[in-house]
Amino acid sequence: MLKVLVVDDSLIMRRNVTKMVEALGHKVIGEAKDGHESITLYMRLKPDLVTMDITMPEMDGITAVQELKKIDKHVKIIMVTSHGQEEMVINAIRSGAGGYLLKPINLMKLRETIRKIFPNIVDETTLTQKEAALLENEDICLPEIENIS
Amino acid sequence: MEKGELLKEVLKAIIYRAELFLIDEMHIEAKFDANYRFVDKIDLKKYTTMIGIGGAINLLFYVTYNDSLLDNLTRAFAYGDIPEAEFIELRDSAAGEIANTIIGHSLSDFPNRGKGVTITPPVTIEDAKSIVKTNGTGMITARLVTPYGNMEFNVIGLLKGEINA
Repeated sequence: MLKVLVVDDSLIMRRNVTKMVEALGHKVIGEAKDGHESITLYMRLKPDLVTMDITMPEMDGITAVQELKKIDKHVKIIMVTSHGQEEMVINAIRSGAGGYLLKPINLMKLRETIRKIFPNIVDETTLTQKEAALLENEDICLPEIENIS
Repeated sequence: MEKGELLKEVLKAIIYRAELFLIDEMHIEAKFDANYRFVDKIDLKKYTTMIGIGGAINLLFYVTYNDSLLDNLTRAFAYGDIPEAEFIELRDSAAGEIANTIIGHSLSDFPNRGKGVTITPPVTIEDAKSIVKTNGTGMITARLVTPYGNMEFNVIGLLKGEINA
């Protein structure tokens, strides 16, 4: 089970990501509304994984990723964002994000992105029958990030 | 590119992505009424979200929702069921997040593929009545029609001079 920090200025996105993370059997140990708060919470909570929005007030997600990398070069981060621009995906990955999810996200996209970062992770899913059926039926649509250096 | 033309190009990109988003992601039937209108006044519905578009271009984007449509979009956007006590707060957040998602998806269809364009976090305004055009400003509007009411998209920017986008 992974300990996860969710970073997004949007209430509905923090709720969605939290519920999906928990449905996949992991635990959300903190939620931050901007980049500054994410750094404070990261140092205090030491999560295994951070999900990070890009467009946020105070400090944006790209800057926050760069700051988190200075604190812990092994930090694992998934960018969760509405930006579909290739330029933004490349910036995020170069900043140190391990994965990139385009909003709106779904269980399958989140699970596959987590598995790319943690290949040996064992799912301890708490999926309801409905959620399990969704996982079986959802289309996988992940950006190709392996070749970006 | 003339700035009036830029407003239209940006709005076309937004409408295209908004229609796809509603149909493919929210599973709500939506149709563009095929009309881009330069107007002097924009009437706002109860819920309106504003996003600033900056960097290579400088524009303001407003999207305004019919109540019933926003309620349905909120339920479609939320993961799982929403308890009644949380609905209003989540609806306010959903109004901003849906606008943010549509703009984010649209950026790659902006002139020059949106290179160098930034967006601000969304701000949602309740109970605003209208926006009135001032000298040198252009306002363009377009509408998506759904079974739950309309969603109107507005782009505002200066009309004078030329830009390189």
